[in-house]
Amino acid sequence: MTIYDKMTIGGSTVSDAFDIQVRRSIGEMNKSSNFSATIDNLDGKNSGNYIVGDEVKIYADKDTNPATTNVFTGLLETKRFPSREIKQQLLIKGRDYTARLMDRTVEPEVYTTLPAGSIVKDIIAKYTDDITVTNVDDSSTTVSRIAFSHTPVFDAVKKLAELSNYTFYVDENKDLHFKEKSINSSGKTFNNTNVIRANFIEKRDTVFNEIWVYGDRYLDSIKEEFTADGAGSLFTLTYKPHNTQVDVGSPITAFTRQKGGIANMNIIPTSGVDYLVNYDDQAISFTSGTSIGYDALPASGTLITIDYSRSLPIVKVGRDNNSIKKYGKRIKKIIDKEIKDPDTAQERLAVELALTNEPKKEGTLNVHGLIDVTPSQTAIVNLPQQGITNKTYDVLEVQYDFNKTKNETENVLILQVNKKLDNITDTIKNLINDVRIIQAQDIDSSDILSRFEFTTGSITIKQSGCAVSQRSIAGDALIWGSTDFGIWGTGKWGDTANISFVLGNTSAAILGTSKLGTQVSLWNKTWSGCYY
Amino acid sequence: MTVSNYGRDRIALFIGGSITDYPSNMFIGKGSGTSVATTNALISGADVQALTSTTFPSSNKIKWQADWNSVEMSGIQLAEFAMASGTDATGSVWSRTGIPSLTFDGTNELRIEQTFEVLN
Repeated sequence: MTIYDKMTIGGSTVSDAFDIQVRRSIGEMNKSSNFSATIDNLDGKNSGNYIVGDEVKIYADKDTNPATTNVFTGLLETKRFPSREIKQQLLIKGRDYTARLMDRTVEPEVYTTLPAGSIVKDIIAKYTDDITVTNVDDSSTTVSRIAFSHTPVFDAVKKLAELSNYTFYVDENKDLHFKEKSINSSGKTFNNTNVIRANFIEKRDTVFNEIWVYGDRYLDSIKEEFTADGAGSLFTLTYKPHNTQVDVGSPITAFTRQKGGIANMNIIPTSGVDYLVNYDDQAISFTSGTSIGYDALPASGTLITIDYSRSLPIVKVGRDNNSIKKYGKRIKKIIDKEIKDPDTAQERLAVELALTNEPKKEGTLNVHGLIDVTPSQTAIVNLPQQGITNKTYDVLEVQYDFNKTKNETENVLILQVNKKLDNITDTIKNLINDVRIIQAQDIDSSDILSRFEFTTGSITIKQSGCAVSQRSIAGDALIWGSTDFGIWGTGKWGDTANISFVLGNTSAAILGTSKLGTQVSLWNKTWSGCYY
Repeated sequence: MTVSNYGRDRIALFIGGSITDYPSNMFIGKGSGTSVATTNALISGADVQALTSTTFPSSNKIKWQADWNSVEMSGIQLAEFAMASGTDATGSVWSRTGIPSLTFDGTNELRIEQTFEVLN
């Protein structure tokens, strides 16, 4: 029993590859499937053979040589030439077509009341190349509202997958799979008969059982009216004020707009300021006193109208009490300005809580004698020594390590199962996404933009032919009195009235006019050209 | 044959929506010499004729035709012709073509056909 592998680049089989590593991942892993390979490059024999951008296919089979089952299709993205005296190698790396989802973004757009799969299909059609959607299921989850502002396509699909408890990956035929999680069984059981190494990690710090979701904020306009008593200068508002506008006057239709400032910015307020705003105390105070040299306090009985905006946040908080009881309260805060309505915030909260209310357990299995496992499938794991008895776990990642030794011993397969534990890559990616969300705050799907498309084309006008033709007026006709064409019995009389001479015809029998034999001969092309 | 600067300028205007100054006349002349883009007249004009027809023989092509009768051609030694949008032989010439000289003695008519093609 042996495992065989084969790699083609740009359609040509690579015969000098002695070490190939393939990782097939689902979206939950936060990365694309990828490959790396080491190719012999002694004396530079492969130095010019493979081009960045070439399509790479990797095949693997058990006991079939050459292998014919395609396990990876992607693009060659990196070439490196590490070399020593007698050991020259070519290292190549690349990603699968999930890269197409990472290379582009979803333009500002809001989807309302649609199945998650339907949104995925629309996004893929609009914003990716090469990817098909044959295996995208609509999902029973209707997304009430989701907004994207130049979100990478990969992250948009990932967000939709999380909202609908789906999983996704791009297969070797460039088809996107968007399927319900934990439904498709591989039919495999991993136990002491085929697992040669196992490692499970479970961490409490992955638990979050109280989630706060902050979305965008709205400014709501409000008006409050007071009547000055001539003594008190402080007027307390109901809410913390933004964009304050103070009018003073009786009647109020004859008001005077007041000039404002910020409380406590200066010991002595700037000259000319009529009132000061204290945001946290929700107060407006009119200026007066000898230090400023004037008194802005409205006279007793004067109407004071204060228009201002109050800030209304979209915020939802939720907790899982069972989880809090088991693991203690752990709080997670999500700030996402793309959330513009409470329903979306609530959906996000529910999803986050469901994902994080229990400690995550991630397992790594080195498997003997198997290769036909697809990420996103489920498998039964029965390793009692690890505290796992016949548990059904999702397969998150399938890794193949192909080399001579591992192929012959059939130890090429490494699986990542159950839940993904965040690593440094995820942390960095989350930071990048957070920055991206902050940068996208002012982008709105209703914005009108000028679109510039740059391309090159041309219109050429060419002359496609010229012809100069001559026609004898006498070739077949008779010219009265002509020594060449007036010989009875040799020339021809025309037979059409108004064109040639017709004897006895009142219109065409007029001697000496142009009606005599002018249009009987055929045109003869005497020159042609202008063909370029 | 050379499409003149004037002709190219008109074509650009047509694409932009202008429908004035399209080819309407064919000039013939007796002068010989090469044509360049700045050519805007015949070297030695002899006659002008309104176009007999403007047709579109196939996709992307347009053909102009002009005809002269034997009386009009009598005595002319044809060596050049030009298509123009005006009846003045100077200024509105779209293209000028020089040909080997042809002598007309009053017994021949003349037909000139000129075809343009628009390419990518």
